[in-house]
Amino acid sequence: MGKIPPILYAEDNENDVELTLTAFRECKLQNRIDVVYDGQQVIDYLTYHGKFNDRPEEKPVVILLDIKMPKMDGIQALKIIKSDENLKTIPVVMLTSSSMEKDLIESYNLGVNAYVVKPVDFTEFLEAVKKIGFFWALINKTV
Amino acid sequence: MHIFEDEKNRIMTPKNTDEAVCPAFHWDSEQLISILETMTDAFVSLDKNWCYTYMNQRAGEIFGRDPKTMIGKHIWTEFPEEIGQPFHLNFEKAMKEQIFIQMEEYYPPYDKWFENRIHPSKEGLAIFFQDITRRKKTELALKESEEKFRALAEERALFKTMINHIPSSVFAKDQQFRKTAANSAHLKQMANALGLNEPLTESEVIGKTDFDIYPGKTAELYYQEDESVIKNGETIMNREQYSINAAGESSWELISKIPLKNEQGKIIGMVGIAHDISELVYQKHILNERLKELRCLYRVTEILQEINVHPGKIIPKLIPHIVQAYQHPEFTAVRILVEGIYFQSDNFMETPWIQSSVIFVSDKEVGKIEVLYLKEMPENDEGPFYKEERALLDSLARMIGQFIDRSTKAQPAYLLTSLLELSNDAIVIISLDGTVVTWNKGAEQLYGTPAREIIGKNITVFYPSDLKNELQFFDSKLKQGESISHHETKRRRLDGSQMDVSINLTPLKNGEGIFDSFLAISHDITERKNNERVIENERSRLRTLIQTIPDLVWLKDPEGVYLTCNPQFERLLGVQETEIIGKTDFHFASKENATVFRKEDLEVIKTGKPNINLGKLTFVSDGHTGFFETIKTPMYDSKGEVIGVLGIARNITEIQQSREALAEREKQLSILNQTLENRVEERTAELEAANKDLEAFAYSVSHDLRSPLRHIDGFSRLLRKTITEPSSEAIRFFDKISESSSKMSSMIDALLNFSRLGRKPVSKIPVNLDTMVKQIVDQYQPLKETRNIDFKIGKLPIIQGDPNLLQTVFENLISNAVKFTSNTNPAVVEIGCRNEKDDKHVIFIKDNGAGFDMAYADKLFNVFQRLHTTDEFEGTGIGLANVKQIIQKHGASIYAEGKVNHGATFYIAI
Repeated sequence: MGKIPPILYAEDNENDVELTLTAFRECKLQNRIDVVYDGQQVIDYLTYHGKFNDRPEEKPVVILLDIKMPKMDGIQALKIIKSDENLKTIPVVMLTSSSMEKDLIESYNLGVNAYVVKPVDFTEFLEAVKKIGFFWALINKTV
Repeated sequence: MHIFEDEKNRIMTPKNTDEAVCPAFHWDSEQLISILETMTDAFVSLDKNWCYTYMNQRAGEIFGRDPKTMIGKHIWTEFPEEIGQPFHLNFEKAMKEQIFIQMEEYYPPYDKWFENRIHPSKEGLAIFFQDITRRKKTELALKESEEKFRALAEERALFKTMINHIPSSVFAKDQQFRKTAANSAHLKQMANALGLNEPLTESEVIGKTDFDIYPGKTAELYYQEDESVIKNGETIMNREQYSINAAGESSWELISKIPLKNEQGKIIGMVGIAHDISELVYQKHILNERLKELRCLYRVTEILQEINVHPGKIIPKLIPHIVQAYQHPEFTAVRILVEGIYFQSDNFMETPWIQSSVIFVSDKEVGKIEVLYLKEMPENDEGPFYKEERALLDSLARMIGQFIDRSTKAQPAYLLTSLLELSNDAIVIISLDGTVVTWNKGAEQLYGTPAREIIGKNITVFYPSDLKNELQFFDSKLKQGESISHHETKRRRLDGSQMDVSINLTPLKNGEGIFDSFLAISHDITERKNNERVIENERSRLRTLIQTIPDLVWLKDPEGVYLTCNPQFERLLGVQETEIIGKTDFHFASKENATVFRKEDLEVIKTGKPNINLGKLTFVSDGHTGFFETIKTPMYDSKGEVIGVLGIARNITEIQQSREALAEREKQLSILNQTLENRVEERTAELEAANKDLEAFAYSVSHDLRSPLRHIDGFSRLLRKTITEPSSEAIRFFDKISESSSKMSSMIDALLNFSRLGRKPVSKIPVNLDTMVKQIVDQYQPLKETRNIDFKIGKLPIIQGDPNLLQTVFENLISNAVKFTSNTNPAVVEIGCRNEKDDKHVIFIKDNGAGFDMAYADKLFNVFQRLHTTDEFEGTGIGLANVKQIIQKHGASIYAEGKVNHGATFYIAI
């Protein structure tokens, strides 16, 4: 594939989006980052529906999901992705503030590929985002 | 035959010997001398004047002289000690008689024997001689030993002859227990033991062990005994031994066995000597038997002297003495039959080994005396018995006969005994003091006690303890000559079983006309009495049952006439039973009702099936009413004939009421249950909702409170980057922002943890605090490198609790102690346990650190409550709140004591 596949990032909080994108920029990742704001948009994006009707056909290399989002939360979106034959091979990383055991267990039960709690300390946050980017966009092999 | 003139020629030539120089050969003197000097014999020649004319080198050596110096010397001057001795005499003889002499003689000065061959001639003597000392000594020694041997052989032969003539068995064995010697008596004795007619020969015995000769068991026996002699050197002297040979003949031997030792004292075998003392032993035995018989006769005579006593009391006394008189008392039984009564020893049983003698009284046979062996004994004069024992038995029979004859005349009551024996009733004669005089077969059966055991004893042994003075009652009447008829009483057998008896008592007069005894005839009436008692019991039980039963009970005959009823029924009709019996229902009830009752009764009689009906009854006695269930049942006699109708009426008023009440209760209960269930459901739902709310709250806190913090930190960092040259003041502010957001983040975590803890159930198991606390303290070991801190840990108990939660408690308290002593030197943290009287443990964690003001002690355990600034001691301020929550969940309590700068102590009472 000549084209570098994008990273799909779902997050309703603008501040978080900005900080995360800043972090990705800092690590100089080549992938384009497509940001959506709720779970429904994630599904629409992946299935070329709604406003993603005429999106060029490409699968993201990894999906980063916040849990707490309006309309459809991250867990629900994960459930749909992992139960869809076409989508379930896309790696999904939960990127969330929640350290609740309940979310963690549920996510893993649904087949999440990684679960990352966003550190409050920004330096640590940068470090975490960098690692996610490197691993899932560069090192990990997908189908 | 010539003599040479010069020295060389002065050699005498002997006449007839081989070794002599033969004149036929003309030896020249050189040759001759060469021969004389080389031969092994010594040689000298003497002239007529006994002077040496020649001596060869060998002779010189023997004499220890130089031959040359000896020539011309006079022999007897040189060897004067020999004068008159054998050599001198023989030399003289040879010279004088001119004969050749050969001699062997001992020469004391040299301590040697010499063989001399003396050849005479007119000129002198030529003497050849040889030292034969060695040969001679050998010969002598040989001779000496031959003589010794001969002497020994003679001695041995003599000894053997002697031993063979000894009538006792003599034998010897070597160390391997093999026979090395056996005399004739022993050979004969061995043959006898083996059941052979001819004595054994020495060759059959010598070199053999007892195992080669005797049967295994016998050999084993001998071996054991021999072993103690041969191996241990013990001496056995005059041991008496009984044995039975192969032919079954018994014998007694007196045996001695002595170890045989060599000159060094080592045991090389043994010698045995045995005398047959069978005859001696037998004589002793016979003597003893006669003594026993005599003793018996003496005792029996003594016992039978007694008169005026019933024979029944005397005869049993004889039995033990008769038993003792016999050869094998331990296997002897005796039975004496007199006038139909048997007296016998306890061990009596019928056997085939019996000796018996008839007892006569004035030529009339009245009984017999029998002696039996309980097992087979060796054959004797009369079966297993001695002829002397026969004589004894016959004389005993005679003595008993005479005794009975005497007694019969002296004791009139005794005449009855034969009569009594014929009866099947228990007939006994008892003296007025209760002593049993006679005891017939019937009595033996009834009382289960044989006559020999009871005669002479007191009859009251059969009286039950509460009837012991019955005898006195009898006495008072019998003494007056009154009889007692059909006296019903109880008796107790010796085995403890009771019986009912009916007794007839008749007084008896003695010879002087005084009533001194009585005749008692008893029958067993136990069965009759028992039957009576059973029937009476049954009747009374039934009566009580009917009387006390709360139901109404009545019985009517097939005609409807009342036969009986109970008090409850009396109350229904309001009259006494006596007035009810003999009447019908028409007498008590209305005509319609009485007809209905009669119809029911007839129905029951006809069908044979019970009739049940329910109805209200009014009691005439007090007018009360009740709801009754009446059952009518036909009653039959033993032949199956209907004898009446039994009626039972049960008051079921209460049951009826209860039933109704119960139904009502159940209904109410079911409504109540339903309400309760609903309420429980509601509450559960409420609780669930509350829990859900709490969960949602916690979730929200976790998720939403963090994000702004992260943003604050993130954007402040980004902001700082935009400032190209921030002042030190600006950098400090940025750091403060970061620090605060991080602080708040950890507070959120702590708070979440606290709320989670609150919802977590406690699962209690035994927890060893000792190991738990030691593990926690161990984690602080590295601290000792930088701080002067000491942990003192006392013995801690095992308690019931949630190990994970308790771990949190102690981790918190210990880390607090470590934290608040960071400015103390030396720091001491003490952990221990006190046992309170109400079985509670009080565990304390004590430090000597910063401490606290007791005024704030109650705030210590509140969430986010801090008594120190964060600058002094860092922390979220939630640790102790967690601790308290956990301790409370365990149903325990925690409290603290402290003083500023004097440390703090936390107490957990659990």
